[in-house]
Amino acid sequence: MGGYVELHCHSSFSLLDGASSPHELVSRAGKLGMRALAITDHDGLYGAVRFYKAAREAEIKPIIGAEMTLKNGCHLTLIAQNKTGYSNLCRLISQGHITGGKARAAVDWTTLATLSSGLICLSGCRKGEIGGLLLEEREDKATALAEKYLKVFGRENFFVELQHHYLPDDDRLCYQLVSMARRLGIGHVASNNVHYATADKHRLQDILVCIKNRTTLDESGRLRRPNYEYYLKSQHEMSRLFSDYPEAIANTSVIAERCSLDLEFHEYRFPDFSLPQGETSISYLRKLCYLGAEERYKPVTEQVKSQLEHELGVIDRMNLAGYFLIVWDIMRYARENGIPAQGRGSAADSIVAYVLGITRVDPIRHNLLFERFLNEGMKGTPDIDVDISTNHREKLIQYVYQKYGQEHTAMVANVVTFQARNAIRDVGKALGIPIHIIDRLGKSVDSYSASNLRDEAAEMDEFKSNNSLPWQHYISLCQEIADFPRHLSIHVGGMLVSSCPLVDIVPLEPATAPGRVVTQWNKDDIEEVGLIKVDLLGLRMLSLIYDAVELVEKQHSIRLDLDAIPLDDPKVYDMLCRADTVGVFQVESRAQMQTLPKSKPRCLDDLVVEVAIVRPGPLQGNMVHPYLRRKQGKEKVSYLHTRLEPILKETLGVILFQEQVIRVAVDTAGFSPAEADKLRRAMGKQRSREEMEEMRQRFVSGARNQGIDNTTADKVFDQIASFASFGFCKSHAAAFARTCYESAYLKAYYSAEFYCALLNNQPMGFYSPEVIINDAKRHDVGIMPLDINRSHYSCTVESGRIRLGFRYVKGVGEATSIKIIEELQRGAFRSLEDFYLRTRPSREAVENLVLAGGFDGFGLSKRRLLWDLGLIMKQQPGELLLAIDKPEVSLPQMTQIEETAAEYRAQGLSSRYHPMQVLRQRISRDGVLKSSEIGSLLSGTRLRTAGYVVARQRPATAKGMVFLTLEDETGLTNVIIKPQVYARYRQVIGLEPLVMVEGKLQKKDGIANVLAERFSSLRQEAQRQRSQYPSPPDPAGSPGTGTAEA
Amino acid sequence: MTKLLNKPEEITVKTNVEGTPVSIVRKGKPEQVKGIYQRWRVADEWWRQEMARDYFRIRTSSGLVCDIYCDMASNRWYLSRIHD
Repeated sequence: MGGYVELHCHSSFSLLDGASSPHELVSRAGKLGMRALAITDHDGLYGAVRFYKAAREAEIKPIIGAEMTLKNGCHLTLIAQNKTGYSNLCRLISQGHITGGKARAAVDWTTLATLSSGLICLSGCRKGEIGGLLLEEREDKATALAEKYLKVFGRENFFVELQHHYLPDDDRLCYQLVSMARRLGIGHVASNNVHYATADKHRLQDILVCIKNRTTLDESGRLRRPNYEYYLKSQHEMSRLFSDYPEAIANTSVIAERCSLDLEFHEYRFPDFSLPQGETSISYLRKLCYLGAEERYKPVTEQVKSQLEHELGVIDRMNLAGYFLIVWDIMRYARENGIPAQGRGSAADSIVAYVLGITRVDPIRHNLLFERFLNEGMKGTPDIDVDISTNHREKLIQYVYQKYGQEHTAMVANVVTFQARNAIRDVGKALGIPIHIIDRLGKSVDSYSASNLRDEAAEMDEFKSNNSLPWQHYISLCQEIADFPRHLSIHVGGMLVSSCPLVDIVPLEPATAPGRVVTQWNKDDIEEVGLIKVDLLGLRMLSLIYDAVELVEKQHSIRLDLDAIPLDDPKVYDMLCRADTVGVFQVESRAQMQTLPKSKPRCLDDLVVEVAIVRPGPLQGNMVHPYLRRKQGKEKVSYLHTRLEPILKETLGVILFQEQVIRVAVDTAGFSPAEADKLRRAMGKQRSREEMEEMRQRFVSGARNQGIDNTTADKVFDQIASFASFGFCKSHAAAFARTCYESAYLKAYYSAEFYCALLNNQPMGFYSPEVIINDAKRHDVGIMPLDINRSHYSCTVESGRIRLGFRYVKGVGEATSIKIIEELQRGAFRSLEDFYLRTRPSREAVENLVLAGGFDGFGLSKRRLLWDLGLIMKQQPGELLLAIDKPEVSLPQMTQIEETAAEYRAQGLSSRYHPMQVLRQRISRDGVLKSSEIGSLLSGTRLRTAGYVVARQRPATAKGMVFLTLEDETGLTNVIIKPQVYARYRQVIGLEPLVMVEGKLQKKDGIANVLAERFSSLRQEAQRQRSQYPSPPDPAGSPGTGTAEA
Repeated sequence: MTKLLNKPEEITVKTNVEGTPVSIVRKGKPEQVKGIYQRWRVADEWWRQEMARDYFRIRTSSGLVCDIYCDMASNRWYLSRIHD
């Protein structure tokens, strides 16, 4: 090979240390003409899969290694030569993390000695033990240590590592290292301890170091690198640097040549399922399927049988019977233990999955396509994802761990990356930007991603004229750090199960939960490498449904069987059609509410479409709008060719589903289902012009064989191509539609229980608890405030009304609540003092309980109670607060505004008032309308309205348009803001919770929107009105009833 | 004993192709660089005022042992420290 190869290289997966992504490093290596490159991140292989893939694509040999942290804190560079070395590396890293504790690794000598086979060891950087000893002039110790390493790794596998970064003592250290190496007959090799691909990235690297150490650039002096030499250097640069030691350069290729590793693990399939006597995986699976079919299909028709046999055939030929059995077993356990769970995604295309009880969607009834889920053209395994009630998920995960063993199961990691908010915060702090500026920028930014921050900041009035160097650095660095890994967390669902010990394939780290381990790879890496996982995802809606059904049983003595409810109830669809969907699964978003009155779903199939179509993207223009126009009868239903009619009839001639794409390719161009799916997937990725042309040719010629002319075939191909990457998976939509209907049904028929469950499973959904409470009130579900003698930790239903629970009160956790309830068993609380003495909670807890109205039942005002609390807390134990001692204090009653503010402070919401309700009087002039008053006006009317901002969205595909949802005491109002208007009022909209908007009413297809022209904060408007009009008595400013409403 | 100059003294330096100093002119007096003990590079403070310097610890023909550096931005040379 020849040439210099970098063997010590950190990527961004050396968290908060490496300043270039694996991809950038590979790219740079390519430009330098490097034929091989190593990745050696700190104590991990987090970026190994990405690196491996990028290197392979660039035709650079990937070398996998890591920089290990030893028990004594020193560094050591390890490189895997082969599969054995790789496994040992994984084990070493894993062991290091177990010994080291959270977020640190500490490999001890004994472990290193046991797992050295197949590894090449380089002595490390200045922080390496040998280098460090030589720097301290302890040559004898260094020599002894080097001899120890020699023994462990062998002469061919241990090298002294030389680095030179133009530090004052680098020359001397290199000289000493080489002298020692020559004396002991050890090879010496050069490396550059790379931390970034190109020198200019040193700034980002400095920032990362500051973030890691929670300090600023000014204060971090010694923690940062002394110069900018830690970039990927060329052969020429390194040769010059080590001109005295040419062997060191040559050895880099010698080592590179010896490494040969591929990261393919397809043979490490899933574990073997333990089968009953005499059965094979497929025979047992078949048995279970037919048993299940009798449950699901009454009767079991020929169509069912033939579909089953077809699928079982494919499953058998692809050797996946074992996988299905594993998932079947998990779902069986869930069912037997009352754990709500259902399969999601493309698995619902399969009748095998349906009869095994993995999914709840009948693929025959919904006209689904098995090949979307599984076909013989696919590589790897299909992913079966299961949604589990969040509250029950832990139990199911434990089951999998127990069943397959600690060695063979692990959770999948999730890489938390830098996005707009955290980038602005962390980079700002490192640069020493004043905190208030950081705050304002953070709150003003709309995008999730930081990659376009410069453009966004340029639009903000406050920041557009900032030109200073620090500001430029700030914005620039935020953009650079976008998408960088920040830290690792556990992926919400993925569980990896393997037949061989996982620690041979990927390093595992202990998670916070005891006995739990996490892989260092994320789900994309796992998939890339061919491993099997089952996604066990928590879905709060399932917890909500479970809770609601329990509440219904308690309140009405009815045990709802959601599998048996009628799926065509008109009351439910009426509610959906008028977009009365706060809290309803999948259809409550602002965008959905805008679509429902147009699409008017009246049956489950309509719901399947509904769930699918509200997605951002070009799909909207090409597919969704035509569908909606046709649904509304504004456009004729047509088909490009009669052949397409049976496939597209259900969606009025428009392609909406991925399954339809496959069917179209099969019927139009004569593709096999596997080929058709391959086409669909290929179109979804970025393809070159030539590749698309090639696909088009194949399609058109196939169509010709079917008797379809070229023009039509071209048009059909265009239709598929433009859609392919954005289409929806129908089975996924079908699974969700079912849950959507169930949640809507509960909302329609058991609203108190529904809202109660919704409040108890926050955070979830699109809206905050206060919006939910107001929606409940609008549906005649009364909300009762906290009551110290009646409330529980969670909200409960009392005679058809919801009693707020302790969970919302700040400072009152589950522990305190339990204590309160326990005490309550011994008798009701008779006074604040009684409560305090019996439960002794924190001051914050009691204060907030008072402010939330928990003690209103005792007939004293909140002010009085807080006053008394002060006295009570000053008491000595045993002392009684005698009535005589209490000074008579006259305290003014709280106004309505103050009551509301008090409740908000204590629990983030008010059971009594909406903020707009109490402030209404202050802006009652000049025709400021309530939300309920808007619907009846004519389109085109100019109006003013005000409300609380409950949603603000700026979809990337909406060309700068911003969508707002305002709420007042009567309902929700939709506001549309053009980019120019938004630019002008961005600050107000972003930072003020209550705003007033002036604009024109736009009514279309039963949906009302206010097209905004002007904004002001509610405060401003109230001030303006006060100064313009002499003030009438303000009821909101008068004393509210401080006692609880019955 | 070393003396760090309060204000680095500007000098003229001739280098070879590799950028290593070969001769200096200090206070009008030319001297040869007889030996280089160390060289190092410092680059920092990019967020305020970028500072990038190449340092050399040299011995001159007059017996002077000192630290000189080249300021990378301006390409001017300075004497920063004198060693006894």
